[in-house]
Amino acid sequence: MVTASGLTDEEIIRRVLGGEVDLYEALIIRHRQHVGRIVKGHVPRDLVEEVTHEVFVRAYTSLPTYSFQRPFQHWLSTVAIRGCYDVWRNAAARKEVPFSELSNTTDDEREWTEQVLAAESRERFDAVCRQREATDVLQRALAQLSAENRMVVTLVHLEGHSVREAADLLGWTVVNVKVRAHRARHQLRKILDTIVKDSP
Amino acid sequence: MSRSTHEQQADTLERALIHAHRVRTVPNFSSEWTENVMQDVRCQSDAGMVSDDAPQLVWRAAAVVVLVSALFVGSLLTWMARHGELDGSALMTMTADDSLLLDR
Repeated sequence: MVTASGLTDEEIIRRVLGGEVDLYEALIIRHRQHVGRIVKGHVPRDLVEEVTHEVFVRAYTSLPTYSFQRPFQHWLSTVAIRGCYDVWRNAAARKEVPFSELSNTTDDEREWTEQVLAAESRERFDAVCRQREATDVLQRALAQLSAENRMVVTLVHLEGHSVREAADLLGWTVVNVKVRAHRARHQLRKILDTIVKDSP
Repeated sequence: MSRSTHEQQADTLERALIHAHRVRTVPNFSSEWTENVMQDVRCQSDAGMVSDDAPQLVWRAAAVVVLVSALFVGSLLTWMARHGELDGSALMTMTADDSLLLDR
């Protein structure tokens, strides 16, 4: 049995490219949490495993293009981000949203919004933010953005990446990301205004 | 309710959603999930490792060929314009004459 312990990512990649395919499993185990965390930031939780799976398969098929000039994890992050973008781009091309995000706001979500707005202490605010409904409200708001604006607002506004970092991850120009970041933030803000007005 | 109160509430909601996004839990992937990924990877390996970027490379190569061709034609036309005595038809005639000579 081939073991990958003690080997760097780059050494494993060279051996995988040389035909030792089973060693790729070590890369999956090393980086699955990292990729899963990225994916979870961009797709609803019920799709996280499936999209992460696709990211690792795509990374494998693209492995010959890995240049070894930057850390593998960074390269893998770009594959993951572009995989998430494809989810939304394909959904838009099929003119469908893959989840029930555009259906009416549920009572639970309305109640959650009310709790957030009424939170009187930092502890209470943090506790409310950790509730499942927080993600549902966020996903529903993001579902109203285009695939491109959704990716940019998630990377720049929600995750705090710089415009340059987001541009690098998406493979877009800095100017494109900068313009979209401004526009997408404005759209998201209008959506949140509507949610606030609709709350009891 | 005044507009500013709405804005403040939207600010609070925005902060809550950003916070909710950042404190999300890291998913746990089982060994079964990893094995499923490896099964697909082995299938890809059996089918031959083909990069997703291959079609993109073909398009890039085609674009380069078109660009080089355009530059060549442009240069040729510029050269012909500068040498007014030699127009396109003359060039064609010369080429035809050359091929006749070769035939002989």
